[in-house]
Amino acid sequence: MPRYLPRLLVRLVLTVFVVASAVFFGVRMVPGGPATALLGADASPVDIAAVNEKLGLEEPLIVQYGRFLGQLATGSLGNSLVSDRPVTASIMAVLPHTLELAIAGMAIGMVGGVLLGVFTAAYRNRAPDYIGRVLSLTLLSFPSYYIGVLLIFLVALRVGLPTSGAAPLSDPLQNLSQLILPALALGIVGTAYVARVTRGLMLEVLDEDHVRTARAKGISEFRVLIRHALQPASLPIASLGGLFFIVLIGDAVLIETVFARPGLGTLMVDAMLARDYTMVQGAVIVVAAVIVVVNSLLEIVYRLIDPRIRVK
Amino acid sequence: MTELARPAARPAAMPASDVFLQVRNLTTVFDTARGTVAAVTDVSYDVRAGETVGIVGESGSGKSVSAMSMLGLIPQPPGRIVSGEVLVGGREIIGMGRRELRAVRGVDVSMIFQDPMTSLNPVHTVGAQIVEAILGHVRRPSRAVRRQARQRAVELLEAVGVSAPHERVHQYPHQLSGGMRQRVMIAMAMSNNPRLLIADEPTTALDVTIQAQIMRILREVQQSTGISIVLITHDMGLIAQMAHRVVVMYAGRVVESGAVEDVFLRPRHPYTLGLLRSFPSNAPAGRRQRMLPIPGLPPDPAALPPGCSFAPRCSLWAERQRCTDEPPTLRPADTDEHLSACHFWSEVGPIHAEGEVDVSSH
Amino acid sequence: MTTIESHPSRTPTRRRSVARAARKYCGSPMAVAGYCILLILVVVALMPGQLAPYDPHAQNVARALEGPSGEHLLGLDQYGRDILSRLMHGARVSLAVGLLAVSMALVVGIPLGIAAGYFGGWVETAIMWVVDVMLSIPGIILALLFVALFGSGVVNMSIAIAIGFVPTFARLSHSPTLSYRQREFVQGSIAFGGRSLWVMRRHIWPNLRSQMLIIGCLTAGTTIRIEAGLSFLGLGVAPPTATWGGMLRDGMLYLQSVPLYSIVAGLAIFSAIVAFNLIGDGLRDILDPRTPERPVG
Repeated sequence: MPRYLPRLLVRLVLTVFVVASAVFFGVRMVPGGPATALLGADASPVDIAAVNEKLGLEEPLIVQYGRFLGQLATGSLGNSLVSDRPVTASIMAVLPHTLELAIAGMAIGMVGGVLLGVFTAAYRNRAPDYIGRVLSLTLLSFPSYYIGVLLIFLVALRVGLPTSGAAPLSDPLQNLSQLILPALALGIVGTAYVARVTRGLMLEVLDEDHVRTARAKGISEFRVLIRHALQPASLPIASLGGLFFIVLIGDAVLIETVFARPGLGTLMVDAMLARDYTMVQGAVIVVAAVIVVVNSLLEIVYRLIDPRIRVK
Repeated sequence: MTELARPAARPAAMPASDVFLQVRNLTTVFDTARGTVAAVTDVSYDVRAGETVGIVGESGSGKSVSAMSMLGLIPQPPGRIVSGEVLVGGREIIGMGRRELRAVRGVDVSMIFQDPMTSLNPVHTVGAQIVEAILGHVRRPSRAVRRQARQRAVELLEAVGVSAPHERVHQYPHQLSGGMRQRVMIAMAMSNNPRLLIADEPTTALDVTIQAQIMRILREVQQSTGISIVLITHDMGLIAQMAHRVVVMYAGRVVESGAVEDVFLRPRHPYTLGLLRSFPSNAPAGRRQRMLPIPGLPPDPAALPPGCSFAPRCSLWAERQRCTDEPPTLRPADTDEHLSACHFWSEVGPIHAEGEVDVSSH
Repeated sequence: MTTIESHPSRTPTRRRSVARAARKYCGSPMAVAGYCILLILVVVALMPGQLAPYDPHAQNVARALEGPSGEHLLGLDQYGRDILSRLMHGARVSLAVGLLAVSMALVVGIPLGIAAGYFGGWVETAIMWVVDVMLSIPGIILALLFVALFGSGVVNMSIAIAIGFVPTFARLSHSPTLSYRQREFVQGSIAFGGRSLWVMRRHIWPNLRSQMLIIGCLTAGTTIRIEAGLSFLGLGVAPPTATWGGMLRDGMLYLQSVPLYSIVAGLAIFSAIVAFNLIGDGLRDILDPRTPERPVG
């Protein structure tokens, strides 16, 4: 573990640096400048000058950039253009909700997907396999936000589950009732995706000689599937987790909007609609940082799973 | 290896009542995109207790498929056993339920394969894989049973000549050499004291010196346990060293079978003759024969020639109508024990004009 | 053990060979379904004016949110506009943005990936490093950012969505290029003095073509999903232009009273995505079964 830590840090710093720089310059490339975009095309020059001064936009670009990086190094993401509150505070307030949603969605997607994938692989080219494949292709074609809408219509409105908001973790029951449908919406598409990948990997392993050996030993077919096919395939399936997490964070933006749930996504969309550039900038940087950290942690986990890597 | 040399290990011919494995008219097909293809057609042979039967043929001749069919190891679909019976110790295997079949696999009949690297699971220790073979047949094993199984894994490894077995059990397949891996496979196969071992090209992936070691181990195992062995190979030399009887397969059918001495001294099928001529004999230098490959290639199983499948490559054919019109059946040639599927078996000549092949040389 | 069984394979029936040909060109019944759906969508998108029963912008506030009837098959929206006509017009934006975005991502991403794999060295390091960083941000967030900064016309949205997939295609064309770079036929033509551009076009690209076609097809489904997602967030092509995502969002407000509104809008999005997924899967089965699983994001 300690050996990976420096590498994780380097990757984190580099990614944040690149993303932050790209967003920084992107914002300043906006036609007419951020102040015009913020206030509208018919804003008075006095107002524009005021905003420019507040944002330090009249200074040379290089000075602005230096100050921005300096701020970033101290962990500050600046203040919101709209509320003038620190961006980090706003983000930290909603980050747990997004993380909770992404983790729950990932859990549903991974568990459901592996189960469906193993099941279809076990019945390769027989009826359950075909049904499972058609099912996963269909589910994969549903946008998660549409599934969210359908879940509200088909489940929430009938069963009486809340369709909006997110309670703090200190109120677990309420929190769960507001988490379950958004997490399902995220997880269902993930299930389909993970099932397809799992099936493909399982079929590859099932064709390998050592599976034939396991069968020749006379152990149960269930054990053959789990220990001899799923376990060797688990590393590539698990490494899917990193990619999957990235997709989930992206989809969370939409799902949070569907369920009017506080989170990074709604924060970002609201900030974009309000043209709160520092907030958008901060949110994108935090998203990139979270993704790098999660992916690096997963990589460490893979190393612990696979004896071939572990032994060497 | 001298005190375990074959003459002692090879028992005299057994009475027919001791037949442990009977394969009768086995036909296995594969449903492919190009239609249904027969991999094994109407194959029959017996294996008696304690004897070694060699199944020989080129790749694609159906020798592996016939063996895998016996344990229900053919992937279904696309594979399908269309007809035939396989009796193991008198019990019919074909059509057996999953659970029953599982009780036969590894207990009555076990199998080792060509490439010991790919045949062992890379993510489990070799010890765990041997233990699994034992505990897979124990319902709800107690802690004591588990401990015994681990102990047995070590003993088994020791018995097949793995050095430092206490340490080896904790190693992964990639940490072992090819020969060691095949020993592990043999240990695993022997873990439930089966009565029949199917060895599918067990040394093809290994180099020659290792080959000899593995064969010696198989002979030792046979001598100490009285196990029957079905040795599948394309190597006539191995058959000569190891087998009591031989079954020659071509294009999914048995073309000749009989005692090794009979078949090697007086082959009664031109294909067998071709095989014998094409393998480098181990005879002393002065008597070494030129290797004569069989002309042509094995036929496409989806488009077998009419009549005798071997006719297009046959040295005896000479455009005779009967060979292309009438598929030959397996029937006695010379003796009741020596069968040939050639219309003109009596015309098949000796292997070497000036002498006979030295069957007993190693 | 006397008679020989006849092999069914030796007498292929005529019907089977026709079926085989159909299978070869269409992939499977599922792929055929995909082609049919796509064909309908394309026709509708090309001439919605001729096919739609009403003007998508014609308002009739008095009859707002009226349910389906013989006159208005799918009912009317909150401004009394015909929902079916708006769906048909909405096909245009979704297909245009979806296809344009994939094309742009292909055209930029593949040459980058091939160049990285072919030249190696610092070119590879630089390209793949940027690709890795970009891949660590969800495509939809990149698109959101771009649209928020530069506005959202059809072209801007296409660029916005394409940005997220350039690294995907660069990554996917990079690794096969690496292995083809080592093959004899490529080494040979380099040894004979083949120019780099020529070698890449002549020897490397043809080997990637079918995989890229398959992945491009599957990605088109994803880009359409993102386009509709942006519209759903209110960051897509501006109203009153009809978009599927915008209609899904508007319909959500009336989910209890007029559920059909949202449901058909979502089904329209689904139909386009499923068409590309079916075709992509069908192509994968015939062209290259080893193509990696679709990129998501």
